[in-house]
Amino acid sequence: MSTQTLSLSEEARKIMADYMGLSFGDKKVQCPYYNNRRGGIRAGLRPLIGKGSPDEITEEVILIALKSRENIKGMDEKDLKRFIVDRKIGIDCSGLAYYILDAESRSKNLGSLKKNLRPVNGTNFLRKLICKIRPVESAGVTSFSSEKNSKEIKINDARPGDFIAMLNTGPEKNYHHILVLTETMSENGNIKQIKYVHSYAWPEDGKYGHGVREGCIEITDVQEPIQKQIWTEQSKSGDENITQRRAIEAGMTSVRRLNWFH
Amino acid sequence: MRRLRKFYLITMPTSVLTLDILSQIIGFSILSCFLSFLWSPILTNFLYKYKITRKGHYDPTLHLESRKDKIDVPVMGGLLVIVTVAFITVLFNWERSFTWVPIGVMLLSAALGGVDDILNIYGKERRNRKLSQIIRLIRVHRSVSMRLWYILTFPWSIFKRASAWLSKHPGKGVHVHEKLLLQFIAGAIAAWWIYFKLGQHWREIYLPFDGYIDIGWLLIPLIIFIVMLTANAVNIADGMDGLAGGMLIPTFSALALLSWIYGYNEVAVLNGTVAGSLITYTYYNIKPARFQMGDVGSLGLGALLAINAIVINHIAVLAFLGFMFYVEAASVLIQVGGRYLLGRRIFKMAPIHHHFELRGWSEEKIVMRFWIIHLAFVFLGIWIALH
Repeated sequence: MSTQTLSLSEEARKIMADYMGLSFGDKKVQCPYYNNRRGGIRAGLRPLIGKGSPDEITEEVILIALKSRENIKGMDEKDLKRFIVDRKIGIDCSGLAYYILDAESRSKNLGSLKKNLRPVNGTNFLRKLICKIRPVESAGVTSFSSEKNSKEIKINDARPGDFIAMLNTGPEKNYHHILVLTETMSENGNIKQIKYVHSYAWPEDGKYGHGVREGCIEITDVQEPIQKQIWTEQSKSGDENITQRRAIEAGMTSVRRLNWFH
Repeated sequence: MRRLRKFYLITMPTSVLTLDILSQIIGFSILSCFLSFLWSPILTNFLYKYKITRKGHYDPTLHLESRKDKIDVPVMGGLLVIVTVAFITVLFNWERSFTWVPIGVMLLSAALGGVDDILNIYGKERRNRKLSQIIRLIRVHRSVSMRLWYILTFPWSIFKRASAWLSKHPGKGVHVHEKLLLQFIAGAIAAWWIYFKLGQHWREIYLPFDGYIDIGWLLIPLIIFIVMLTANAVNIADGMDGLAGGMLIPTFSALALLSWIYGYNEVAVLNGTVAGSLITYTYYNIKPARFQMGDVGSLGLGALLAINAIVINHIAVLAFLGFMFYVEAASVLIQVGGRYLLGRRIFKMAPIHHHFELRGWSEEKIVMRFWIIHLAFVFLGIWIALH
């Protein structure tokens, strides 16, 4: 029996690790989830609208602490997380996907996402210009999952750097979500396990428990759709696993690969 | 005193023509320097007595470890220069054609800065409503007249909000839109004087290596813009001990030199007086500062710098004579642009001297390097102005 494990490039894993442990001196803090839908900030700084890179987020937190006279050096990890969440700093799912996939694409010498990702929302000059100067902000789940940018693949073909897109999910079917595949394990050519990373908030996470985290999907039957497999995240599976529930609820859930990754 | 044409410089021996004027310029510089020294203890006591000192409520930079010692240092130290220069000029160099308006505009800008400094200490918190709040008030206010008022003043509200992009927290002081308006008035006075009162010659701009060009009435908005930009640029650069003062000395000295060379003797004496007084100011302002310039000094001297360069018809070299001031102003504009257009900070903090501070440079290192770079560009400016 031959087992094959594939994982993201070192560069992409570093980005992922940086989000899972934002570095403040010797302390590491999980980057919280933040979605700008509620805040509605327009033309804001990336870390304040859920689109910052780990460095930008860390720098912004330090600057905000400086401005508000908070001594973050004296805070423990828990307090730091509360501080970050209270200042509405964090990363949303597509922002996280952008940075990880960008690092993956660059590591494979396929160019940056800015160069490859085609805008899908609007085609007028202004919108194109905004996409050029604010690529991360313009890249939502719909951009990633558009046929212009990605194609659906079979579960058995999944590999790190692919992603799972959920369109029209949630209780009111009014938002989208994206998870990036970070590791795949196959036995005799059949995929058995997929690990993913995403930025998300479950209701039971409360105000401060959410953020960037990993999960695992056990593939029991490759013929079944991805949402019917066994999802485990935060030691929860089945109905208790909100991510899987969202995948099931979604109008469309698919495993996809960026066109230039083929 | 008549303005000399360029060919005089080539054909006439300088010693015959203007060495007595040069002697006067230096003499007034020394007088201004000594006079400033004489009354500086009075000013310091006054500032301490009325607690006109720097507070850290709305200044994020004061939370930096290296800048905590700046809290409770007196501000409005710029009065030392403004008052001395105004005093000497009114007594000894009060000339309708060339010094009334520069001094008037300097005092107007300084008054604006002074009000800002005072309000920042004694004033009350001021609010700046968001546009969405105003639109809501227009919709729901129970008084029809108030709704009408909000509708009529809506363009002003837009201006207010747009101006707020350029500033940090407005705090208690004068808001940016008010500053811009008053600086516009100061610039407009300068433009009116130069365009309508000084004569045809000043309607043309001297371009080094090229000659004079006539841009017609466009000179008026250009002058207003330059006065506003320069006043704010000096204001922005006044963020570290000794920085603005140390850079203004070579700038005003260069202007004195150029004014002397081109025969604008009253302006040369005025510039020399400013440079002399700035020497005293900078002596006290070097780290650890005994007092800081405050808006009263920076806005007043910035406006004066712009006008004095325009009066001697050297707008073009102002970019070199005030090089680091414009770099500082540009860093703020770039930071604002980066924030709103690109969604990221180009610098760790703006103005650019704070960027270097956050990168670990010591205040002394930043200030001295900025002085040196500025001095080099001032020399370049003088050289260009002579062509």
